Formats: sequence, structure tokens, C-alpha cells
Amino acid sequence: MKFFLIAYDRRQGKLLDMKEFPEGQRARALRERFAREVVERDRPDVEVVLLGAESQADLEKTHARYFKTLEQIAAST
Amino acid sequence: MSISQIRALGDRLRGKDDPRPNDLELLQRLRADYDQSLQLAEAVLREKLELRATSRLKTVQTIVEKLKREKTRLSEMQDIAGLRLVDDMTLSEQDELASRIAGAFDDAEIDDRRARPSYGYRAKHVIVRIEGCPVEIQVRTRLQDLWAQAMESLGDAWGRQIRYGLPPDEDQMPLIEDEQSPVTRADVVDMMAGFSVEIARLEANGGASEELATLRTQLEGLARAFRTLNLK
Repeated sequence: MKFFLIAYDRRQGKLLDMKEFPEGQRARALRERFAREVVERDRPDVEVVLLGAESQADLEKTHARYFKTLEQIAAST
Repeated sequence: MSISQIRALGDRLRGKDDPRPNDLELLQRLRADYDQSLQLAEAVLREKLELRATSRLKTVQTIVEKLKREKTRLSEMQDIAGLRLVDDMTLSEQDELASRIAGAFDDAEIDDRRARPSYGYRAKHVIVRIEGCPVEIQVRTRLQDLWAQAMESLGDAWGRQIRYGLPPDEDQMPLIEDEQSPVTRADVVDMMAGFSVEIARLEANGGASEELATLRTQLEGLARAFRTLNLK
């Protein structure tokens, strides 16, 4: 399983950045996530999340809102 | 961490808008413990059932929000660690998948959020307990997931409280200023509640193709409205 550290601006609906960690770097990814949360503490609209998935495509399927506009989500039936 | 330490941490987090650095550190330790259980649960799904789930640990903000919103204690919160599976499936296939997942763990219970929807949110959840930590495995059909993702995106833009039945920020704001019969944010949230009921009905009927086409048309209409608004 790979890990994807995501910083996402909720109000703007904008993926600010995403960093991928290969399999075997779970602990490092978690440490970086916690550190980034501290950095973003004063920006409540910025969500810092670490997601695990076999691939980015899997992630885009189960956590579409970080990657797609509302229009794209609504039209994806 | 002991149960009493976790409870005390939860009580402190509930009472503060801005958690103290020491409490943030404790929350990180707690989530690292949950991450161990998350890792084990994911491995069970992959190795025993050949399922590819995605995983996430709840954010500080959503944990604190939930502590403030509900009476749940931090030590009893079931969704700090979560796995998600989304697939094209019927309701009986969803039931069967949830049962298979529950059967693969020593300590598991199914939370039927279709029978007890939460403000329109519908899914099947399996709560498994590994090394003392609960892990919530969400099992969603494509339509259930579509609804949940759209509602989350609206919540991002108009306030996350809409996911718990409260009105959006500036709820009477018309979406298009000069329209004669303006549709407000509150109207859109109501429409989403209607879509949830419609999706439930459609899925219970087995998803007849003409009904699915009608729902798709309605969702495309909503999608066009979002495009007009340039709303992410």
C-alpha cells in the first residue's frame, strides 16, 4: 500500500499539494502528516490528510472530493 | 495510552477551540496507535478477502468537531481509523460483502446505516476491534458514495454542519442573484436530502434502467447548476 499526504483547501475546493510515499514508508508518512498538521494549525480551512491506497486511481474512486469538482462528481453516475 | 488518559484528553479537547500543544502531541500518539490497528485491518481485507480498501485516519479538526457535536467520548469514537470500499453492487451484494468482512475478524459488528441513515448518509459499516482500537470499514455502493462525496464537497463550501442536519452558512443566499425564483443554498441541501431518498428507493427496486436514467438526468441538472456557480 502506498500513502498520499494531501493538503486540501476546503473552502476553495483546491488540492494544494500531494506527496506520495512508497510502500514501507508508512511511519515516515505519518510523521510528516503530523508535522504538516502543526504547520497548518492556523489555517482551519486546510485539511491535512494521509490516505493509504494501492494506487492513486483507487484513491480517486473512494475519495473523489479531493480530486474532482462537484460537477464532475455529480456527473460521474 | 490508558482509557482514563484517553477520556481525559477527549474532555480537554472538547472544552477548547484551540488544543494545547501537549494535547495535540497526545492525540498524535493516540492516532499512531490506531494506525497500527488500521494497518492490520487492511491486511486482513487484502490477504483473507482479496479486497483493495483505501485508508485514512481522522483529522484533529474532525475529531474535535465530533467531540463537541456529540456526547461520544474520545475512547469510544469508532471512526478515528477508517477503511473504505466502493463498488458497483446491489444492496444484497452489499449486505453479503459486509457479512463476509465481519466474518473475517474475531471482533466485528455491522452498523447498518441504510436502515438508520444519518441525515441522508447511507452505507453499511463494519466496526472491527483490533488490539483494543476500533476500525470503521465503510462499504458503499457507487450511488451511496456519489451522494456522500457530493454532500462532503457542499459541506466544504457551505459549512460542514450541513452533514448533520443544520442549515448551511448564509442559508438564504440565492445561488443566482437575478433569477425570479431564486434557489437558495438551503434549497440545494433539501434537494440533496431528496436525492438520498430517491437513491434509496432506486437501489431497493434493483435499479431499473429507466429510473436510473431519470436520476442521472436530475444529477446532471444539479451538476450544471454547480458549473454555473463555478462551485467546486
